[in-house]
Amino acid sequence: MFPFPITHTLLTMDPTPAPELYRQPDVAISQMDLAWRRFLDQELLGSFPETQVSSVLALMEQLRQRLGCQVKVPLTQPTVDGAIQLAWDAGRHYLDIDVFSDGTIQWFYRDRQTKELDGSPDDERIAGVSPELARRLEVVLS
Amino acid sequence: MLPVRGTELAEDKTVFRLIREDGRFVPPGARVPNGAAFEPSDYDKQEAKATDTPVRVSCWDTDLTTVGQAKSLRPDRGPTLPFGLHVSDLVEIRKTTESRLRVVSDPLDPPRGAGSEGHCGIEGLDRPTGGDKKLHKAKLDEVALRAFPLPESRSIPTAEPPNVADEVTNATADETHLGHPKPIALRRWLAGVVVLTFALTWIVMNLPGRESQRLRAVKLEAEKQVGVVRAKAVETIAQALEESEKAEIPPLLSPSPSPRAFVFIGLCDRLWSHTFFDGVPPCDTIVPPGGVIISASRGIKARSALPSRGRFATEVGRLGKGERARLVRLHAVTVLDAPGPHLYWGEVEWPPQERER
Repeated sequence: MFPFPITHTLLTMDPTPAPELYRQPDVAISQMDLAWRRFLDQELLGSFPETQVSSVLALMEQLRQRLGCQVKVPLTQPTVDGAIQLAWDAGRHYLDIDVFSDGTIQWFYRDRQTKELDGSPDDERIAGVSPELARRLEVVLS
Repeated sequence: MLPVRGTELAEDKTVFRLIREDGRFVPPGARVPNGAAFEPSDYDKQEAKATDTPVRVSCWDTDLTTVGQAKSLRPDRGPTLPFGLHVSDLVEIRKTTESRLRVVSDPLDPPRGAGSEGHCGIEGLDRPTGGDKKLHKAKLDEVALRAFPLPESRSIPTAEPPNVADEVTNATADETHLGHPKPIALRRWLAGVVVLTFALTWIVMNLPGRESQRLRAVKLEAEKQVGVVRAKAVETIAQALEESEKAEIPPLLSPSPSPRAFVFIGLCDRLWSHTFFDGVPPCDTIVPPGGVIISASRGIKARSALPSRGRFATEVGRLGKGERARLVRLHAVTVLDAPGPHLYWGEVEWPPQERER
């Protein structure tokens, strides 16, 4: 670990033990983020409307605002319904969010151990991150 | 014997499904495939309607079709990876979810080449009208959990090794068809019995070992594939970093005139592992007062601020290849708490006074 502060505002490279600063949400850009954004830009933009790809970015931004930067870059792929799916799989807990072209979403959560299921109501698309979705994602990412 | 369309596959069978390799972002550690890979497509549904059959998701019988054959029979699917499923696993899921789930033979008609007869379909993966979506997705998730990577090189339909028992039986039958074995036939018959006994003993003694060897080989191959996928991910990241300057994301910060600009210097983990400049001081030291002159080894954009929230700030100019600028500070810009290379940006005097090459 580097012995200096990691912030986006400055840094003079003065030796300071500040590993917790790595977790600051403002700091911004991770290598994985870059690769993910590049994928959205170069692979998904060709086959999905720009608004849909922007919705994916906006959704991630919302999730990070709610949960902090522990929201890891998800498995991202198209679905047969024409949605872009973001999926997090933590072994016991699984959650996916399908983002549609109008910016609405459908989500699904499963606890593979207890068989508990949750998600947006059947065939109903919702807008934005509901408290329930945020709570479930927090469980998956914890 | 050719399989009959619609016949359910036996529980000891294994099938595989080709899943698209591209068009998907897989972060390290993510599980692929997930349930989405088993969701019937519109094409599957239309075909079911047209043929008046249940909706089937395409897969292949490993006893009748190799991975290579399946790929050549479906060239339109682009690059794919094979994932296996034991029919017995699907039967197990069927017991706990719904009764429609089953694998049936669905040979390609007309045949399109070798392996056509091994085409199968998994029924019951579509969501019944009015069915609960969460239960449906849970079932797909369960199926995906049972899928395992199948080595590309796996070639199952090879000629069966000569069956000693069959040969012995046939010889015996030929030579004893009158019911009174001749002495020579009797000797052969006795020799056959001895050979058969040895063969059976050998099979019994060696089967578990062979099976475990085979499973070990399958596991090794699977691990090798995981390694390849990881290597690809690393390559993607490295490429993204190299071309990060090309990522045109709308700036979050408004442009502000500043005597300083920011340029992406490179990657450093105690030592520079990759940098776009010559003359950059070591990343674990403080830039000397007064700064140092660095020289761009390729054209690079200068921006009004450091990237924030994953967005690049406004471009204020550009340093051409070989152009120099005075570096006054180094900034590590990353949120990763894992050890490894970090992204470094440099604060340079702008416009550069040292522009001459």
